[in-house]
Amino acid sequence: MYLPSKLKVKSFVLIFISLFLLFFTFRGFVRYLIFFSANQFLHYPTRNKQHLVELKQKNLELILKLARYESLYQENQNLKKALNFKTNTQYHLIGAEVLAFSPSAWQRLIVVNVGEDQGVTKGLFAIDQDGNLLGRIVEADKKFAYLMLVGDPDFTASVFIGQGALGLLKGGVTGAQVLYVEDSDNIKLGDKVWLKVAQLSSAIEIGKVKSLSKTDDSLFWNVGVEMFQEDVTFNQIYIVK
Amino acid sequence: MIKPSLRAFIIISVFFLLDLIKPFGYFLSVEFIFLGLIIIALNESLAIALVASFLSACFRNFFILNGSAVTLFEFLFICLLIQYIRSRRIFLAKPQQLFIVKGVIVFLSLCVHILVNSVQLGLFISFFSFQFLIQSICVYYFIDYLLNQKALPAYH
Repeated sequence: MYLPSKLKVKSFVLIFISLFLLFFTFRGFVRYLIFFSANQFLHYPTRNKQHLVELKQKNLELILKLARYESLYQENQNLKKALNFKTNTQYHLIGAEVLAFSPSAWQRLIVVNVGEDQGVTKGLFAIDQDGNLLGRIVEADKKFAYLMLVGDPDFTASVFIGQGALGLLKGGVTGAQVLYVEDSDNIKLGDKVWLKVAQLSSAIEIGKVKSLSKTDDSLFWNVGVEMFQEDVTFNQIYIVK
Repeated sequence: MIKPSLRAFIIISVFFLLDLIKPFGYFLSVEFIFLGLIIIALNESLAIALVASFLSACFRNFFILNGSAVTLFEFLFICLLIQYIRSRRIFLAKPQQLFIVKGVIVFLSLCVHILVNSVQLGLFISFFSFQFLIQSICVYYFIDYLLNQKALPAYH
């Protein structure tokens, strides 16, 4: 009967542990590489045509929605006038491009090519092309600004969960969490996490609830959030002003 | 033959650009400029390594929000530590031992970097730190292999 020598067994165990460590730490990177390559080489011929069809469809849906919203807006304005409302909120989006990322692996910070000259100020939120939250402006110079992404450990924002539970969204490099949630009765897995910006009539979505936990010595619940915006290779953002 | 000082400057510049543009997003948790500093400290003279560490720290601090002088001291410390270990002549060992010794030095430097950044952040993220460590060591060996190819100017 053939028995492997002790040296071969040790080598095998060492190789196995090394492969496991490599796989464990590089899986995100390998997954991104494979999907990116597949998208570029396999779907490139049909991608543009499909994208055009999708854009036309989306354009038509938006035209129909716009017509409906215009009538609702008119009705709203009439009601405000009747009730003598003084406030009137309007918003506009400032398109920006990513200039650079922060070289630190512990920070999730990007530099964008708009600043105070374009009306960007500290505290404004930024969204992606799907309307999901990207982050918040933390510093603005004349020609550029720093945008702190939701994944940054220093990112915080007051958010709503589902129908109205309130908490504090805390960013993190391994995932975001909503802290200080008092009551979990109205929260279930899959509920959307969103925030309200004064200028926008609709909510900005951030992600959905993926976990709900509470330690014995804590008064509040911790809610784990699965972000909608995972792709960090974007280069176009929109700042809500 | 490229001058050592120019070679070091090219490495620092290219790695800094890689950190800025992040072609793989945040899926690759590696600070190329820190790895560049380690490579230069392991292969160049003390004067060049010190200048490279100063430039690396400055480049890094320019684009970090609330960058402090801690980065500068950390990079200089790592540079001096690696140069001191080099001066102990353990790099005259066999290639296999050299491979392991370099790996240990890189590992220790990365641990110092993780510690400093965790203290600055006020938070220790265990999984991210582990991921950063493993990925950085792998990328270091890959870059070291590329730089020591025979087609390139001698670099060891």
